Amino acid sequence: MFVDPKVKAINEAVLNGLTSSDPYLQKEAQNGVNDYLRLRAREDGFTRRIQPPVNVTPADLDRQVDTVKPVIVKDMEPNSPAAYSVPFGTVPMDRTMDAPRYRVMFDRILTHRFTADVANLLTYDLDIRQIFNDLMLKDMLAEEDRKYIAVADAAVGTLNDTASTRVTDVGALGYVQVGALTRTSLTDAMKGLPSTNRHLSPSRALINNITIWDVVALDRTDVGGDLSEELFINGFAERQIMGLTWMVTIKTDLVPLNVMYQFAAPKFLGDFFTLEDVTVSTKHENYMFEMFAYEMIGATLKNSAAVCKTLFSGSYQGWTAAEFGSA
Amino acid sequence: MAGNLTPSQNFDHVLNVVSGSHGRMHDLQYYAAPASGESFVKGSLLYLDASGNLVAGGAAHAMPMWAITGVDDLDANSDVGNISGGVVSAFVATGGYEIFTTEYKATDTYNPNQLLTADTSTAGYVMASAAAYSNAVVVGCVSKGVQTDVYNQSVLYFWPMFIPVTQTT
Repeated sequence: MFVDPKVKAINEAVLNGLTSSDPYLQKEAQNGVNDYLRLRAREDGFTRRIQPPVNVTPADLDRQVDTVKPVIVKDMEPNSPAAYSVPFGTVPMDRTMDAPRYRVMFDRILTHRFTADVANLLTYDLDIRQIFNDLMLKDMLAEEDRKYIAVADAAVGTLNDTASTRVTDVGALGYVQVGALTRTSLTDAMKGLPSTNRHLSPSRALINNITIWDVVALDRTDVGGDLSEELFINGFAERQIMGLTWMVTIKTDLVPLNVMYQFAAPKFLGDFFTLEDVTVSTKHENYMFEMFAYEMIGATLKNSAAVCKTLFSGSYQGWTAAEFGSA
Repeated sequence: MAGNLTPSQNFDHVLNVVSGSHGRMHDLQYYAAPASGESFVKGSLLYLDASGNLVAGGAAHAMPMWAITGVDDLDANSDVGNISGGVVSAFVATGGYEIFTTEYKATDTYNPNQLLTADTSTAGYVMASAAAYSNAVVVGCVSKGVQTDVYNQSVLYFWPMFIPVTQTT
């Protein structure tokens, strides 16, 4: 088998660097070549774009009596009773001031530990260490996305459910169908967050890389001549439409066909804390090499009025139980 | 009136590997989601159900495991709205350890070399095997037996092992 001597030299340099006990040499491990067959597209995570992470330190943690697990306790915006009109001479009614709190909890996201005999790495015509490094990072971001969408789905409830916890809490459904994707159904979708009693506006939309083509298919009568032409020629890239940033993901297992999530601005959504950001651990013992990556994060989507979900199918009835005839 | 509340503590339920966990980064562990409705605590005896979820207790031919995290530990479960949690991890009985746990049937007698099986009344506890031990799964063999640990918890020292049921009558 022919192995490009230049690539072989780079791989040896990478291995020598990685397997050296000298930290400087480890840092200097070179990137290898990029000449290999890709089988699938991978992407960075969308969760960190919806809720940008904030680094925290052990000093930010709140100690608990019953557990040693790391926790951060945060305050929520309080509610206040409505003001009222009274005749002259009336004194105000008393009300204790308080505000709810919630806990941000942490766990660890971990990749598998990849191991190899160093001799077996020398024959690759690609920088397998760098590739696994990238794969580990993207796998961890995918796990963040999986867990974040699971919480979003729990917050919005099931399709057209007029009796969900979200309806009770914030006065509007979290997941409705609006009909096939048209300009009209898009505008109906935009009413989701403002329909709650918290009246938030969407900041970001999340849609998959197949459904987005239905947006590209909107013609000049739907979106205007310039945008229609530009989408037709260039396809869709992350952009502002209807006042919010549209993010496109290839993770169709998380964001299915004809589904769109909308999220309010990060300060209304929740938290994303990194107690220990992504760390890659490498170890070389004699001729065995191993590497894995880990991180420790805590994230919340605590405000159910800050997320909604739309299915571009069926027919639109509305976002409130009253519009469904259930209130 | 003097205070009478006693908050729970992290050491109320304990699993400790005493010996044999050489190089913790290579321990024989297993992780999976707990089965729906499970509420087992750290140190409980577990097995995998047919769906691949962890369940408290033992079964005739199921590999015994011991919970490193309880179902409701804050890194295995979390408050509504948090993304953390979802799985628990466990030590596998064939890993070659001596361990102690708080989760055992306190009324049984545990002399050295007493075989252990799954408690039939409290899921997640171990108890002493019957003399005809092969009628139930064997999950361990007592080493030092019952001891009082540093916070006055009674704990049971034993070596995990796995002998599936061999008698089916």
